[in-house]
Amino acid sequence: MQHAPQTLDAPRPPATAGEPFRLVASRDCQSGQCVFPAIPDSSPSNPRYEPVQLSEQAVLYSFTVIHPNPKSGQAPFVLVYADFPEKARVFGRLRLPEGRRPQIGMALSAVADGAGQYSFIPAAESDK
Amino acid sequence: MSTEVYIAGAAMTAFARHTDKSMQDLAQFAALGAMTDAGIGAERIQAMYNANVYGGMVLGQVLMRDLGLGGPALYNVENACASGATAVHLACQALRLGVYDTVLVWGVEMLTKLGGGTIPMQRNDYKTDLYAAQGMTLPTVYAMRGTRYLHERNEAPEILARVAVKNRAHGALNPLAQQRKAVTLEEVLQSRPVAEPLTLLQCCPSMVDGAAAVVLTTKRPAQGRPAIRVVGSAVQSGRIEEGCDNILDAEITARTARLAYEQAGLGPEDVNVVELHDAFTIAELLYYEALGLASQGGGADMLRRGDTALGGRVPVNPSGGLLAKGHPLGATGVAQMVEVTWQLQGRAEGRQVEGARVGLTQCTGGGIAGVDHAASSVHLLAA
Repeated sequence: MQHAPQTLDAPRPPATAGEPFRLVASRDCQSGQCVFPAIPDSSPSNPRYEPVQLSEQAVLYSFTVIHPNPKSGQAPFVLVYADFPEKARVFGRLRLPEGRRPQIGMALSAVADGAGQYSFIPAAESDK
Repeated sequence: MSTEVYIAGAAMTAFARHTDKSMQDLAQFAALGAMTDAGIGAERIQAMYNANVYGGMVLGQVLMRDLGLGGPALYNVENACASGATAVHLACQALRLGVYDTVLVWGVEMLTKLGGGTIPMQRNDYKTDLYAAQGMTLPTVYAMRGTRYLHERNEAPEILARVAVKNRAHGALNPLAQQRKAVTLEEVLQSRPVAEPLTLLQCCPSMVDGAAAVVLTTKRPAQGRPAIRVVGSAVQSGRIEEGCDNILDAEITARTARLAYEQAGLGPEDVNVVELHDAFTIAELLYYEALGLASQGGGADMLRRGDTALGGRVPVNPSGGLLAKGHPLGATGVAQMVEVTWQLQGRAEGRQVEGARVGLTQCTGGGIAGVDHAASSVHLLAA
């Protein structure tokens, strides 16, 4: 069963690709720490957690640039860990303007990426 | 640990692309080699432990059927890259409890059957599925640690490359290693980028096959060579990563090592030789500290001083490690014990750590999102 990341304020229409939106995590009721993606509703573990909507901005904690095997013809892409103020870390792709490098500490925003997926962009660009 | 457990026999195949052999061939070669090394026949084997990740159901029975070893209990063990070490751990438990007095443990894997590339992540997990769709692979996870390490420690990528230079130099001395070519820092840094800051020569080869086996017994071997005891054996599972954990703390490895040291009544300062899980260069640097071989923040200097090279204070991965020897997953943990056994018995020709009396092996099993690692195993062996 595939679980797409959720947004809290459903049933609003799904976000359009590229549009900033808010990811939903689960907060451990005892520790106050969050996990992403949210624990599935059907999970017996669910009572241990409460849903929490993550802030619009996160901070880049670490990154890598993946260089696919040249035989694949795929272009390099950036993957990041993004830390949210709600004590949640989210893994995902970072879409950067050509020529720009990722940097630890840069501000990021999550955007809808179609098919229940998301990606990150530099926060300043999402605010435009 | 009241009942002593000895490694009476140890053997392994070369780690290589064995495309002309079957998994049965490899496992039987290692099993027979370990029994011959122990000087025992099949009638002495009271139980068997088969470690493997991708081989399928009741694999151990498939592997040993034609050898005529069937009959005794045979346990099939899977714990990702820690499968082999976990099998040894379970065997030690049974031996100490008196369930058996002599058992055979082997690990085997044929990664060439998967066709190369990064090994697949676990697919029965909603979180791993989501993150795999985003691009998570095992190199990705280690590369993230590498980037953060360089940032926090104010180091250049050269420190990662040094691990590859050291272990590949060791591998060049090991006839059983897959990659036997020493490399320079420049060659490592200029090899194809895979997942920054990791380059190709900083990743263990993914097209490799191999098997390793040990005979474990509670009867003290009398073979005219040092008897090797398993004095510490620990396995732990990964705790859920909540919040914004420090990805450099290798928490599960530190926790497992503490248990193994405590069992053995030994500390890191007693260890003379180490075989650890250097699937990617950054891992070795983190494990120096998690295993207590270096102080917190002291791993890079330890490497730069040459402490962990052959001839240094505590050589790490004299076999070449996963980076050079290769990493056929199910075989790796057992092969580490084979290497340390040979080191403690003075049988590691060409790469011998002189005077080694205590050795440590460490394996981690990964492949899922949301934990530091899924499994960790640390063993301490003593002559």
